[in-house]
Amino acid sequence: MPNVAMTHSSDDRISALADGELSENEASAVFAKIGVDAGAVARWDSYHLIGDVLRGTGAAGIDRAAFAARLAAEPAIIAAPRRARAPIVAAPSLRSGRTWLSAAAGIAAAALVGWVALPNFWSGATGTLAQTAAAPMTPIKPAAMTASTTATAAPVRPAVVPIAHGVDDYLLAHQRYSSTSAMQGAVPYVRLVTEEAKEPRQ
Amino acid sequence: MSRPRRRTSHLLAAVLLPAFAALPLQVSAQKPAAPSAFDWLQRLYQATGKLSYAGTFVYQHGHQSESSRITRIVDHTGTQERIELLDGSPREIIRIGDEVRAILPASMTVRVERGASTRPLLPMLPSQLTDIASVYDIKKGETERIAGYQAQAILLAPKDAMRYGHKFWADVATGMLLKAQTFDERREVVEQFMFTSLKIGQIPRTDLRSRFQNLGPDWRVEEAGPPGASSEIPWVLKSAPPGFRKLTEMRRTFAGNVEVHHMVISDGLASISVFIEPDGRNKPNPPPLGLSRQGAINIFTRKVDNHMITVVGEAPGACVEAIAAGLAPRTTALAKP
Repeated sequence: MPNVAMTHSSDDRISALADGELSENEASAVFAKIGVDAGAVARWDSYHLIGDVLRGTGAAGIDRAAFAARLAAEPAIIAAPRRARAPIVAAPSLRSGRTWLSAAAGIAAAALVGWVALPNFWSGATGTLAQTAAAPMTPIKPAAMTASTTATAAPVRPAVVPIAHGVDDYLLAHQRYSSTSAMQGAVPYVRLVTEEAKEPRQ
Repeated sequence: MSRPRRRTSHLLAAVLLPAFAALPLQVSAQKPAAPSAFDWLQRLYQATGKLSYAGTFVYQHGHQSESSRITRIVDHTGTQERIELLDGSPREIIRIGDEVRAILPASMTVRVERGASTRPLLPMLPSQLTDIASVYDIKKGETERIAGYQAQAILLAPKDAMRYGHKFWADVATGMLLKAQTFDERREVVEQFMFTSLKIGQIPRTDLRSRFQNLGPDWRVEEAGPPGASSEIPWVLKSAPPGFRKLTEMRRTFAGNVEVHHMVISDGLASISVFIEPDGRNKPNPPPLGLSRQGAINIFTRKVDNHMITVVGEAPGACVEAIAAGLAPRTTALAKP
């Protein structure tokens, strides 16, 4: 676990962001800071690791150094204000008693981590992400969930166990037989069309 | 009675008696009982094959959330669909019959996926629906209003830890799927699909037209070869979690000319794909060994006998792992890797 300076005010903001407690303006400021400060990235990761341990959701498999380097190289990826307005309100049943803002900030934060870590499945290009080994899922005993665990808008944290680049062929071939394809037609393919980076890949 | 009245009463009897005679038959033909949860599920599956519609939906999977517009037309020419993502770059998914294309403008790529030419997207067979009841508890839920439609909720609770739970909301009038949730082993929603606006019925064909016409030479089209029939099947599924059985199998060629054997197994609702290929080094980024997860999808890979087995599906990690463990090389036929 990296050293965490718990008393620094910017760390508190990162922690607050991780817990979905910042306003949209504050969130975008923190995102901007994370984009350029590798130290902030490390602290961000550590807060999530702390959160994961509390919630018992297991360890991360993201290559932190590559992640930080990628963020530093491509600040344009941080479209935090738009992500913060993601229409999570359309799904109130995901978590009861949650304010839309905390849910949106959670989505924004998680999308930042998830978007960069998950490859663009259908570009066929080799990204600059370091190859990661997925951590095997250990049997999860539901930890005592306190009311304050509001960080994740969606209950599961798949960004913690990213799928490596070589899997896209399998996912694409499987979609046709995916469980609700019979009812939903092409809708499940939406899963595979993750957001692309702004610059075209070679 | 006076004569006119008798005539009238006879006339009335002549008119009314047949009606009364028919009435008991009508009453018995109309079942007073409400459709069961299973009836709702059947109707849900059947409606999709027939309905044309257009609308906007939100699809949440893992930590991704996208709004999209969908147009779907079913007519004598078959089924055509167009999905246009409304957030971020204007990606499109176009489905014409058996072929699905993804148009990705930011990377100027079109990815094409075809099924076997004789097989449409997997329809749910009635016999599979019956199998569902052996591994899921099917119950009716509440009625709710979704996108302006009255919807009936249907809950499918898994009977063991080898599958996810599902909740579907069907339009009361047409049976169409309006909303769907997938629950993992912790009873948490890992995937949700929901219409926010919807029109069922006659849809103009012009709505199917992609915004990407006349793609220039800068664009790249990636296409895997269409799957072929499986001749020699070098592997068998010796054991599988309850309710799962093999639906189909085929040979596929993935990027880099990798020949892969693809087997699909299902418990009637959840489907799992098994991919078996020689364990070579021709893939530049082979998937990691063990378990990976994205939203509702779990992937498990293992090496057996100089082969790489990859199991993919919307089921808990324990299930894909059990299926991977249940595969063994066929001992009789000798297949060259």
